Amino acid sequence: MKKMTKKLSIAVLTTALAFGVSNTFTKDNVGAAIDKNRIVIAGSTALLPLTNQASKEFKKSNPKIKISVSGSSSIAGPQAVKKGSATIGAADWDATSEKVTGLPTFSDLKAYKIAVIPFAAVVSKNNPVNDLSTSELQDIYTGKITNWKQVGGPDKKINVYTRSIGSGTRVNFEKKALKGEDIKDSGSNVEKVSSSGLMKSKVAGDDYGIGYIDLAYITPSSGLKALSYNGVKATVENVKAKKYPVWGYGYLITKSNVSEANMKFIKFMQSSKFQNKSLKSLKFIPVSEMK
Amino acid sequence: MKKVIPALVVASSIITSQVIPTLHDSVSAASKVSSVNDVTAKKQISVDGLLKNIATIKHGSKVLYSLKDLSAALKITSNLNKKTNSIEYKLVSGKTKTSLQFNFKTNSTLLNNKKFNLSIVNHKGVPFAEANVFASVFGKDVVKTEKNSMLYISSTKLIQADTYETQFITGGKLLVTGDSEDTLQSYILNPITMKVEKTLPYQDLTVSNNGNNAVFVDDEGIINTIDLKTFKVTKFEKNVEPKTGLIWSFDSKKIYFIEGDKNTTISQLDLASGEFKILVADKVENKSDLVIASEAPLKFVYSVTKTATSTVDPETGETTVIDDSTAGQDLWSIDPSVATATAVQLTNTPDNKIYPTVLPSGFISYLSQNTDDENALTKLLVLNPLNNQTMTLFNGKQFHLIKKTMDGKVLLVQSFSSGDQVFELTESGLLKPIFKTNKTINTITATSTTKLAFTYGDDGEEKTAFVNNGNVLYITK
Repeated sequence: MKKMTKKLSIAVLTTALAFGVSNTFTKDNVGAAIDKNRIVIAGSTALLPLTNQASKEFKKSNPKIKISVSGSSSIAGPQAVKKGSATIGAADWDATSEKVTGLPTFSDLKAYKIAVIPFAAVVSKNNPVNDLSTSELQDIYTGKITNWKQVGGPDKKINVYTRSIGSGTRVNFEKKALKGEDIKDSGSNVEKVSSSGLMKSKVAGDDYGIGYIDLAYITPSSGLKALSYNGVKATVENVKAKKYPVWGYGYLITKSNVSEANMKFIKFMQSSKFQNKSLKSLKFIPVSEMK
Repeated sequence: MKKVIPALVVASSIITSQVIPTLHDSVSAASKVSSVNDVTAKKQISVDGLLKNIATIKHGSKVLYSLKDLSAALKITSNLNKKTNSIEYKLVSGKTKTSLQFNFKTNSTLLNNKKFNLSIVNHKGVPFAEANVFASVFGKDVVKTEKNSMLYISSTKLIQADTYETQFITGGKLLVTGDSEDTLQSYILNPITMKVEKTLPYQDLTVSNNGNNAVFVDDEGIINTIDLKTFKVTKFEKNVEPKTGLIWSFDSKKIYFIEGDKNTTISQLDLASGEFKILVADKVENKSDLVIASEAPLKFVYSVTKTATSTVDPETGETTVIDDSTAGQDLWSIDPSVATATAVQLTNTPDNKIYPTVLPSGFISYLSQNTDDENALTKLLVLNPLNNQTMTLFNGKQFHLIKKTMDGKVLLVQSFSSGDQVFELTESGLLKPIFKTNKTINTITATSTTKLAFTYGDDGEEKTAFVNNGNVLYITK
């Protein structure tokens, strides 16, 4: 075999990289600068741990592609795609076809199913209440029940935390846990929070608070306790066994003429390699397991 | 006991001008004999990893194999019927019976009593045919190879699945994770015999450095280890935080991992005591690519990804600005053995940084890609952690993967238009060629620089190849 060995001559072959090179993408040119090798993901904070992990792994086999991930709310995902400031919108419902009261439908965009997201009503781990029924949750979130004593807890006012309209977690919680009942946003005991991360810290720090969040955020160190729903524990197993109904699909939403790089990323998130590795370890459920 | 010749050691043909003695000498030579070269050669083929000598003839551009030798090698019975001037090859496997009959007089072939289009050539009373067709008729798989004239036949079907992850385990075997239409499981595959020795109902396994154990995190976030000899599974239920990036200590007695929904903490599990310990809790989010820089004292290198920020209109919930000017990925290091130690940022550049790898010298190598220039090549950078000076090595080469072998050698994979070339980056800084393939390598695993395996193909359709002394065999379908 032809010897192809090359001597490493550090003096000859090395080039010191200049440090501190400023990023050429600024907030002013994000929309305009999106090119075929750029992926900008915006939207759901429930899906944020997942899109974030996927972006890190995807870069390994696609280093030429620049990916940035951010989270605010599900509705912001398709809105940003439509405006052209993001290439992929992450949403907790199919915003291209599903009608949600008070929110637009983006029928000119395309949706790709990428995960099953289990959601749960949560309280602080110091709260003694472990289980709430559908009607108890409905009454708490419509202001009819305002004291923990009414649901077997201490004689303390319930501090209700809810997500803003446009949150996919809220859409799923209203639809699946409250069986279509609208959350009452007003009231002295109601506080709106803008992200899953904020929901986590608010409820964990309030022994008499209640909120709702996706299971990925409920970890032993989070300070949160997932409430059972009608006596059924909020677990991945119970979702898969179809015993626990509070879950929804997560979607990536794009324009119909999406670039190859963006399509590649979507396919990566849908691949068995990602679905059965990182997606599972972050407590989401592979789409294939809910067939 | 028969002396076994490892099939993969030699791949040569032995030319002989002699006619192979045959059991079929008494068969009528009345049947039509096709035009063949008057030279018979013996070729070595591999059947389940064992070398067999098979007589061959050249028929036009094709090499045809003696079915007498081939059937014996594949343990297919043959029965000569002098009355009908025909021979039957038969194999019973469970409830499946396969019968291939060749009539010397009419030159016709029947498969399970139905006419079958297999070109069998009667050469001096011995039937010759294409080995891959004959083998596949009886349910054997012919293994495809690169630039290797030797035929490899597996008497059992090759794994047919999306095999997206392959790792070496003890005994030179492979742990292959495969997703087929029916099941998702891991296979313990002997790459020499091509036999699946065990299937395991787990995925996402990370094999220990000694190859004896593997670790995986189950749906509840619990770490499980599996003994790859006894297949005993041990659960470590004290910790159910989400975990990513699991790696083994050099001595395979501890597992290090990144913990939490925001990938904030670096923790360890001591397998002997079952105790978990938080090593780094600096609240820096989005850690990944955890690598051990040294174990005495314990030091890690890892990546930290900075996300973009969205500004949302509080009234409409609409995103007004997505600012990714600070988004990117940098390398950090930390020495958790020092209680007061803080993480040190090693890089501060906007390029994509992949495959951070600690070299035997203690320097950190990684691949750097400028994402602002479509035509920029991926650079191999080496960073001195003592002064944060970074150097580019082998400028102009398009490397796309760095991997350490189980015995500590550093492999580099370089892209060419015709495929990939794998090199060893030696301690003296040389690029030593290991093997070439016409595929693009997705992942690579190696016990040493002579025994390697890699995955190739698109997401959802990945396959596995085994490389033994430079020979590339495609061992899954």
